[in-house]
Amino acid sequence: MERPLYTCRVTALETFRLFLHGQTERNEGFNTEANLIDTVKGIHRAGDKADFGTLGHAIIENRKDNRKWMADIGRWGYDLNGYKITTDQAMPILDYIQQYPRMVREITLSKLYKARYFDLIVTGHADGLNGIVCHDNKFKFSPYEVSDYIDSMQWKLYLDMLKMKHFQYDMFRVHGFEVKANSLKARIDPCESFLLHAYEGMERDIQVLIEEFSEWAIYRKLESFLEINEDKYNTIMASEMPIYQP
Amino acid sequence: MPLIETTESFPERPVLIILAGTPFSFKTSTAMTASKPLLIDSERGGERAHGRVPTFLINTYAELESEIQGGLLERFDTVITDTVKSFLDDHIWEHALTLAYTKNKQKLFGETGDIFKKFVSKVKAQKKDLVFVSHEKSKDEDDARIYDLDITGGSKQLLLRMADQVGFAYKQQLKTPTGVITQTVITFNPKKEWPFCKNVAGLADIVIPDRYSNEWAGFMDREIIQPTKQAISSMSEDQRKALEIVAQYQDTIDSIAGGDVELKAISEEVKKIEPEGLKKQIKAYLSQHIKSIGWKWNANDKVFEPVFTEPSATEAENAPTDSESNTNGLFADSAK
Repeated sequence: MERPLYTCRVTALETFRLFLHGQTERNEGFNTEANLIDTVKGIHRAGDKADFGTLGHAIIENRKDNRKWMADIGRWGYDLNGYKITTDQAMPILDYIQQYPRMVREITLSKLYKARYFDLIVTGHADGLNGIVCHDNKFKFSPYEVSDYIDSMQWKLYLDMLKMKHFQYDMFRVHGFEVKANSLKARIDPCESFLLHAYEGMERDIQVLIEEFSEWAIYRKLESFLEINEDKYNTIMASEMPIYQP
Repeated sequence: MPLIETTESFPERPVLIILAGTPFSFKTSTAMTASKPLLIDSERGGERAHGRVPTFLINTYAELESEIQGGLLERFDTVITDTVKSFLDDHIWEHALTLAYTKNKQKLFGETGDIFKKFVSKVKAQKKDLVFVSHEKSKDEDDARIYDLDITGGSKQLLLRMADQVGFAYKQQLKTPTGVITQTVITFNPKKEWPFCKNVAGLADIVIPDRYSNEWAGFMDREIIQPTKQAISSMSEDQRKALEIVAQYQDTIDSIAGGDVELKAISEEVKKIEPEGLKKQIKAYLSQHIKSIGWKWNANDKVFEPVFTEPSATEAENAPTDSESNTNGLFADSAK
């Protein structure tokens, strides 16, 4: 009998890790199984902070200057779905872009892993690749714990999928933003970065998580949400297919 | 600061290493086998360590700062702080309070972090390596004991961000034909039990040699500090070479304005790039370029061809003028 082939995103695996192993007093109530199931099902609940982060990501992804004149406030800046920041506010992001002139942004990744009950194609998007370092940008609205990121499976999976050794989190701390209306008052700190490195036993750690995830997905009967639909197929193909086939 | 050309490697730089471990795992003694060490002792750990090295018994941070200003570090290669928690909580915290008294703990944490950052910068500016010795704290979870660095909140995060290498020393019992022997191992590889470890140098787990053996002298320098420096230096060299390759390909790709033959030729070349990470980024750059110049791969006819979409009458009428074209939002030209 053929083994089932499913797919999921790196985010789903990281949410699963947080649910299973990342429960702390600090994040009590956040890493619930209900949230995890929503993530696996692809139900996305972006809030104002996530949308502000999307604006930040969009500025980074654009290598060309896409400032626009914001007539309502009489300033140059960036506007994404009504989330606005001025060029002055965006300066730490623009400095960051300058720092990595050759960085290639938004790389689609995928890799096939084998679990006991099924094969799993894990997909993800790396924010940037710069030489031998894979980068990920985060916009944080409260003090962050470096150790949370060290524990994360995200960087380990990306390094494994890319067969790379070095991963850098580039953190932008945002102050004074709670809701959309605060956009123009938000202050973004200069980027703080930290490097993480592939280590002996990293593949084993990934495999353990994938096994745990497969057991849980079967137990919760979530296989139908892991099936490969057209969208997921396109993502996998974008990563795996050569640009052209002679 | 001398100018470093893009074609040159960065010079070797001082490293910051955290050495944590269970009680009696020879953390301080091991750190003291670094090259020309100065022990900044805030917990009187030096008295319990194996051997002796010049030791600064810290009374107040202000005193230490003034000694550093006066040239205390000149004859040393390595500055060991034992333990980092007591250095931060007992001395730098007090110093921060002296500088600007406040009841606001958050503010005081911030000030403590800033003073600590300055301390690290001052030591590094004098090209000294830093070793921070830390106790561990642990909790039992399921069937495992999970360790963590015993360093206060924000300072721990700061150190983890700055550290090049984070090691954990623990006792391990081995059964041998002659009985059970206990050895002390330092690992830099993160594991569920010690997730905070960091291993830029890719060091394998190391058994700490017997304190009376020939391998003991210079152990920290030879087995940990120097390999870490070499790894960082080699990473910087690998990065320089990789970025050179990326730049060459990006320039070549940028010069292609279209054409089936040209795009097939460059695609073939990109396929051969190694390693995988480099290939992925150049392939992604090429895909984005093909899109941005208005071309696509036609899988049926097996040719690259321009994308041609006939604008509808309404679209043609409403097409923005050149001066307006970049005012419709962030994604106007996001293809590349």
